[in-house]
Amino acid sequence: MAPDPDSILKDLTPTKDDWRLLVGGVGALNAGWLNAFVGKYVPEEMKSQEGAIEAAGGLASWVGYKLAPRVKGSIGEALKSFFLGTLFVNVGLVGKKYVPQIEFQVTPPAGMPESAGMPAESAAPPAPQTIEELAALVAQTSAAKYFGK
Amino acid sequence: MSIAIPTGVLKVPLTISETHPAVTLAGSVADVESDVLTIRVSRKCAWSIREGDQLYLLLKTAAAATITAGYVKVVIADANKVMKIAVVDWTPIANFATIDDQTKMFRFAAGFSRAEDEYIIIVYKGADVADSTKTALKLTGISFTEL
Repeated sequence: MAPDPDSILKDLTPTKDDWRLLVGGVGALNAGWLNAFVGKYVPEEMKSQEGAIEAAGGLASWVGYKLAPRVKGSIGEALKSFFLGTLFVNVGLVGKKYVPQIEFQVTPPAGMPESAGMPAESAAPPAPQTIEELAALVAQTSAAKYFGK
Repeated sequence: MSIAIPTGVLKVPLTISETHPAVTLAGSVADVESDVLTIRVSRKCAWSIREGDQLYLLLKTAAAATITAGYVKVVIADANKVMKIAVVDWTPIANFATIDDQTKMFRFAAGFSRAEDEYIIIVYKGADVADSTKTALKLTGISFTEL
């Protein structure tokens, strides 16, 4: 059965051009490496600035992104996607330093177990200090073995 | 569950018969609650009678006839016998008279413990008069001894 040309699946199906996403993802993962590399050349007095290294990395990404098309063919496309990935991450990293962050914290309701269906583990009984306590604990927590019916 | 035993404590199985030094035997009085067996926990010991531990008790008259009528109660008491609590309330004596059949052996429904000098007392009440010299007992548990 031929797929319906208007099907939403057609839009969702990966195409051969989507490999750029993978390369962009690799670029995003390597943004830290790129920043460290570029950061070595950032002047010392600038390094103390908040987000300076990330900004330098972002600048390098921008340069790479813009110059990559000069390399013809798939290599150029790959470089462009790679630097686009690093650029996104660095814009995010720099932005995170200067844009106030709202932290959402979910507070578990009091008296509720940590996770649904899993009651909190009961505390272990205190270690007996005397033989009286030991005997009482054993009497309450163990049963005599019953062999046979 | 496992319980860590403090250092210097000896854990051994406990089987008490009528000849055990902790046991004091007594005869009964007809239709009067009589302490036929008084078990005083040995010095430096604490005993656990756990759920499922056995109690076998056989009382006989002076004519060596086994007593099958009457009731038995097991109480635990402090060292001064001031506070007594029944761990087995009045139960027909025939329930305790089997030793060879696992399915008919009397077993405690829940565990209890006694420390040194405290008591486990077996009380009999019935028309027959038990002769202390013919009483037979088996009580199992765990004994913890301080070394």
